[in-house]
Amino acid sequence: MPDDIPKIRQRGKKNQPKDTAWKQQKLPALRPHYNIASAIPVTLVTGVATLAMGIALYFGHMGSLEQEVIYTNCTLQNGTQVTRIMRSETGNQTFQCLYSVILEDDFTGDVKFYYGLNKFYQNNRLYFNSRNDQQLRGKVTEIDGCDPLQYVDYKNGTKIPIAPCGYVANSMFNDTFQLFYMNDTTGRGVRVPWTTRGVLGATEMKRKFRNPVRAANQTLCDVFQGTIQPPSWRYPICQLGANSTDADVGVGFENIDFMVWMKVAALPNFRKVYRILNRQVDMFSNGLPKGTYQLVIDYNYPVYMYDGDKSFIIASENWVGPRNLFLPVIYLVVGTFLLLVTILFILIWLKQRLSRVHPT
Amino acid sequence: MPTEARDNNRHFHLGTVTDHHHQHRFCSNRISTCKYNGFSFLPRFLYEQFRRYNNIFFLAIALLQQIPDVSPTGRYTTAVPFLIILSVSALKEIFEDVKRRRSDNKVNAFSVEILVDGQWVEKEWKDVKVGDFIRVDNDSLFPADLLLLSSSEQQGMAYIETSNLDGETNLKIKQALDVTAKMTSSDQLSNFQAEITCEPPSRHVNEFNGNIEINGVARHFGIDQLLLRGARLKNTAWVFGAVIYTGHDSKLLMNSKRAPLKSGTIDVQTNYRIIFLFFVLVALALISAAGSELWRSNNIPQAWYLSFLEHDPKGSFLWGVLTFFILYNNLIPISLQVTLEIVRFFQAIYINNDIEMYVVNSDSCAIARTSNLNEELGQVKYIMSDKTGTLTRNVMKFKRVSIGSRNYGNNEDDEFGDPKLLEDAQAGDEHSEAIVEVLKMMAVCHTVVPENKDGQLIYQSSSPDEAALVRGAASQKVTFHTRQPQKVICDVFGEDETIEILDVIDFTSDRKRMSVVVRDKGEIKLYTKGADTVIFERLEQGSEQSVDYCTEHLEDYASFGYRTLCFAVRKLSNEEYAQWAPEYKKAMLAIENRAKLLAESAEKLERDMVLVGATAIEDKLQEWVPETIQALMAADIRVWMLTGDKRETAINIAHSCALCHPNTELLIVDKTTYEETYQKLEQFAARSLELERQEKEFAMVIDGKSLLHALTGEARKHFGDLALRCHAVVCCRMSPMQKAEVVEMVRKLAKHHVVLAIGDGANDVAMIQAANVGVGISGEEGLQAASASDYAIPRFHFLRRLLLVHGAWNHDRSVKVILYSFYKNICLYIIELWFAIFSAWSGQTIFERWTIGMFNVIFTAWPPVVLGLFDHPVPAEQIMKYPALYASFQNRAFSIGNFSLWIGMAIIHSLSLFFLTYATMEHQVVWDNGLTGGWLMLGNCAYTFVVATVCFKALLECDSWTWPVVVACIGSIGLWIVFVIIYALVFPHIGGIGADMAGMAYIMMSSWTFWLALLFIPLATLMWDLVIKSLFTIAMPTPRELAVMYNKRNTSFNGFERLASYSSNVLENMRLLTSSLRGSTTAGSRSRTASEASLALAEQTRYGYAFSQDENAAVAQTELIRNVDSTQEKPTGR
Repeated sequence: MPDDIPKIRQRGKKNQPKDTAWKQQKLPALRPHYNIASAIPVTLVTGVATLAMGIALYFGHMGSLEQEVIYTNCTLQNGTQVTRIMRSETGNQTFQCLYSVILEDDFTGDVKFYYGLNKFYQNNRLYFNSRNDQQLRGKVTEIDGCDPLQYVDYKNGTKIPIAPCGYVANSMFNDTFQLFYMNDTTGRGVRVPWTTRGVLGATEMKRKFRNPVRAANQTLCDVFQGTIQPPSWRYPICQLGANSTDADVGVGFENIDFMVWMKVAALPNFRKVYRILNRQVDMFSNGLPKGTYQLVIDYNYPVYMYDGDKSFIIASENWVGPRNLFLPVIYLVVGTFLLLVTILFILIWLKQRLSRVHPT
Repeated sequence: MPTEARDNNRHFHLGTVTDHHHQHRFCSNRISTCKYNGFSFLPRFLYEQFRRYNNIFFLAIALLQQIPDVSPTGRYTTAVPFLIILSVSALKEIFEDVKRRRSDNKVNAFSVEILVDGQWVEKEWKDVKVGDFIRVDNDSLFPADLLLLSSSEQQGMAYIETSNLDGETNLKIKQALDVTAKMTSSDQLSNFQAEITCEPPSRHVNEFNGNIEINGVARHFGIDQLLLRGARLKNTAWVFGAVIYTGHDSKLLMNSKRAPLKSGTIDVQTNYRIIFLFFVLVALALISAAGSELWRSNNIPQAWYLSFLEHDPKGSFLWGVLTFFILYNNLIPISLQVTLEIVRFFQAIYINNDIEMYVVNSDSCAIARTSNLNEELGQVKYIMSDKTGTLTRNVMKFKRVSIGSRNYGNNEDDEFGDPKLLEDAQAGDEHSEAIVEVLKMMAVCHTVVPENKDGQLIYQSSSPDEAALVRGAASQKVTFHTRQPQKVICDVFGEDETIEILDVIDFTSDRKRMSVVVRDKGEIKLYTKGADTVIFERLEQGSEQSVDYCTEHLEDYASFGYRTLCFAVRKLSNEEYAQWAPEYKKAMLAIENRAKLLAESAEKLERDMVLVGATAIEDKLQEWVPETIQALMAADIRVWMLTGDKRETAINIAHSCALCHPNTELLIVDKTTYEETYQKLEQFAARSLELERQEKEFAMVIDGKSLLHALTGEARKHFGDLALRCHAVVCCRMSPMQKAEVVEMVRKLAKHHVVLAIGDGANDVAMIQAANVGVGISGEEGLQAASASDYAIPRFHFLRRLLLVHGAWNHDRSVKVILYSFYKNICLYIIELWFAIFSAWSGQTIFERWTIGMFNVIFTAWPPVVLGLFDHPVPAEQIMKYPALYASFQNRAFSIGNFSLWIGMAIIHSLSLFFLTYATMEHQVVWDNGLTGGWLMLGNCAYTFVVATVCFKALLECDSWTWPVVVACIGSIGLWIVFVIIYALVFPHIGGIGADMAGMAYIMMSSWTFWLALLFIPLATLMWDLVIKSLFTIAMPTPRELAVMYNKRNTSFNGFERLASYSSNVLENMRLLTSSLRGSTTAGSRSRTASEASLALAEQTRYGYAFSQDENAAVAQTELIRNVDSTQEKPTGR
């Protein structure tokens, strides 16, 4: 009878949405709720864990031994102080200074030797980028990005590329060290045996630094022919590492000291690994025994102008790495704080409970 | 030939022509709402994209990076992610445009019958051309603007339903010109030739002029002959029409503006935040460049290894500014836009797939037509609702009747079916006479035309009320079945009675009544039906008793929102009638003052009447409308009803849909002049303040005419004040444009609030487009509102779920996504600033350049996405139950305070992350085997800690941990670790990429310190968030947190009070919550407190009078009655 009521047609359920948890937003969910009661176990557990971690770390770091020699102002054998050495003053002369180092404890295990620089901004952007990674892989004429230390202009108009180009290479650290163990019985120094194995990751070394390919009859200097060393260097790249007193330091781009230097530090105060104790020598198979040592430094690298410091570090490290008490201390502080917060929360919680039992 | 007509007029030939060539100049009937085509895509897309500041910004950064050596991060680290992001946006645009094209194609492919060579051929809408003859069947939509040529009804009449266009409930009558009305077969039509001249396409829906020249004789035709696209043929078997305007020329499409590009308030706010960050970025670049300058003056040339900087232009201040600008550019999150777009896209899919917004009957579900406004749904403060078709079904049902002291019928039955009525009618006493009289009046006093179709009686009427009454009478065995010009025949309890119609006095909204003078069995009677007020005034002396009974019943009916009519009768003596009739005839023929004369004449007859009864008609509401409106109001949303209908009807519906209660004071503004309106508004503004103090409910009712004044000049302010104070507002007699104006006004007045408009018809399109969010009721095909809307839902009551669940969730999620995106970028990239202190302010990055670029695109791309898709701040059931939570969600808006908190946390986190890492790696030797890390060791470690912190922060901020959230957050950290391992192996195999990174993965991961720090540093950084969060929850929980607690513990509300007793702030929040929770359950006590300032007008509405009738129709009511003969055979139109 009613004629103006829309006729209800059953059109099937073509458009009916699927009743799945995804589409209906009904995935099972955990609803975390942050209130005091739920916070107490969290803060308690993390507090205790952090505290425990801090204690473990503290003992770990206390187990790491370290002896640092700051040699910015070093005394020469003739008694004069060298603080202001610049190459312009000294020509190619190398100063040698001596330090006496006394180790109070046995440095057991793999003892590492570092050099450290302070206030040296290897991370300055323009300095940092002043290098060419392709050149360091053996393509000596690749010098893009090293401006202005790309090449040297000769009067006749030829341009000789610098190898290695750029400011990072130019400012390579070139002090060298030797360490002698002063044996009480003989009074003669025994040179501490060093190795370069493990100073750099093997893959990293192989992939990033490679001398140019040379034919059987070529010397390294042959393949670097047509390049010139950076202005601050005393000798060409092909001689780098050639005269070292240490074994297996590598030459040219593959020189370990060069590679370590080229791995730019992140912060202005940094340490770089110099050598590792060679424990295959009998006397040092357990590490460095305690006693007196003499450190001989070939003092070349100028730092006084920018007020920097240089240091040499002997370190024996356990699993936590070199001694750095910051981490254990911050763990302990945060852990203690969390426990205090937990106590506070418990007090508030108890107050709530009490007021619930005895409403005023 | 009408050659003298102006050139821009439209001329064309109707009928068969050999040469169709000249008709091609009119636009086709194919409509297109697509944004792009193959050629315009790229330019338009790029134009749209680069209107956004952040895209211009990233383009500028990408270009700046091309200057050699200025960029600390290489040349392509912005360009590549930027291109990735642009292409994702492009894909989304293409996808949405294809969807639009599909829906256009659907409309274009609707079928219609076109006359081709004398045959009706079924074709698609898009093939309709100007000058075509088409045939439209009952209940079909008109495919174009048509000239009505003839119809199945007498004198070429046709009923059309225009609720799509103007929202009016009653049907409109259109009438063909008499010269064309006779052509009722395809043969006649195919021989028809005519020239048509008409005005050019325009957007005026109520004006139209044209000439039709047939055999050299020109006739004028106008709006009465025009059938508009979008309207629907009703109660008419078929019509023939000639196509006048097609496609985008049709009035409907001329009126539909291209959907404006709406952007959510969140987008606007985000833009401000981005601009703010931009200035922060510039400031940081300047500060850092100044730092660089300072460092250089102190350290160069002393630092011999850097001495080259002294003369290098790359060390200059300006260069430094550029470098730092590029270095810090990521403070502005590059991926935010695309993350949001992805999130919104899937949020829209959630809406589309919500099974709780699916209706089996029409097999339709909710459709999110844009995804940009998902979070606006959670911010809605005003809802502007259409009435007809949105709140009501546009179906009238006769429900109850009051006769004498008795009431018949109840609210529960779908249709009147009280057996007592018939029993009492048979009783044969005075009361039963009254019953018969009422039933007879229902069956006689109207303009309804009966039609016998296949043995079934069908009533055609322009007034749905009358149709309901006639049907009601028929159900009580008084069946009206034949109408002839001078008489009607009714079947009264099984016997045909012929009642002669002597005179008809039309219904007008001024008179509020309609009368017929009949001769029934030789007795002359006046039957009058109308509003209680006008009827009661005209009763004979001594009717107090019956009036008392009647008002009691009327109040009862009105309280349920029924539309009431009173029925009165007066017996006339032959003499009296004979005296009156000629006078009335004269008035009918008068030219001047006709309406006045008629009214005066009617006044003389309509007096000393006897009240016989009152009827109640239910304007059937859509499902769950009152519940939905109550819930929305409990959510502190103000609901406005904007309708084209009359005030009485509107107030009725306002009552029945719980917009106002019987004890709500109605502030009715119905003045015609500006001064009066102004005074009234001023008075009401004061009154509303008073009512607010007394905590009484009040609502405003205003009509279109007053509104015109209320929106101009000084009055606007008062109106605004008043309107914003009202929880419910009813605007009646509104034109579509006025609806849009009101929406715009509210948007302007309530600047920070979101206005949502909901409607179903083409008359709502303007309003839907003007609102912040437009919602259309979908389901029926071709509904304009749905296709102009941002969201289409099949039923009004889904609005509750759309707003409370999807809106609140999406808003909360999107705000989280935005804040989190800002947070993570600041957290990572501000570390560059801390590092600058240690890197000689040189602009050196702490991180590897590609890891910087990929941070947003890969490593932290997923946590914000899962936050945006899987976070449920509160369970759906809970917010549906306690709508007040919705309001508390709005308070957690994207405020400056909240933004500052996140930014502050980001800075604290970055400080904590950098300096803890710095302290751990101070000597940069963190191994027991003697390796040195170098530059990237610090950077990669810090980066790892940042990624871990940021991912766990996402978990911490997430209110519901579902497994995708956990997987995405933990997986992102894993993704980074995997990336480092792979990236460390790349050099030297692909160009020169990754030289710095070579071998770094092993170095980093072989350090115990790294792993310990990874455990500790993010934990130490985030622990404070946890502690702060816990403290906040106890010190000042939001109502939402209280609800969360409630949900968790499932304890009584006393638990709330206990917890809340710690702070007075909390108490207030809680009171708000609990009161609104209780409010929603015990709303609407029916106590009737007569307000001392009760106005006469408000009083009028108490008895629920409402009636709709097409007053200024093409065919007047009297004519209709006089001209129709339902006994005549109808043409088939074939």
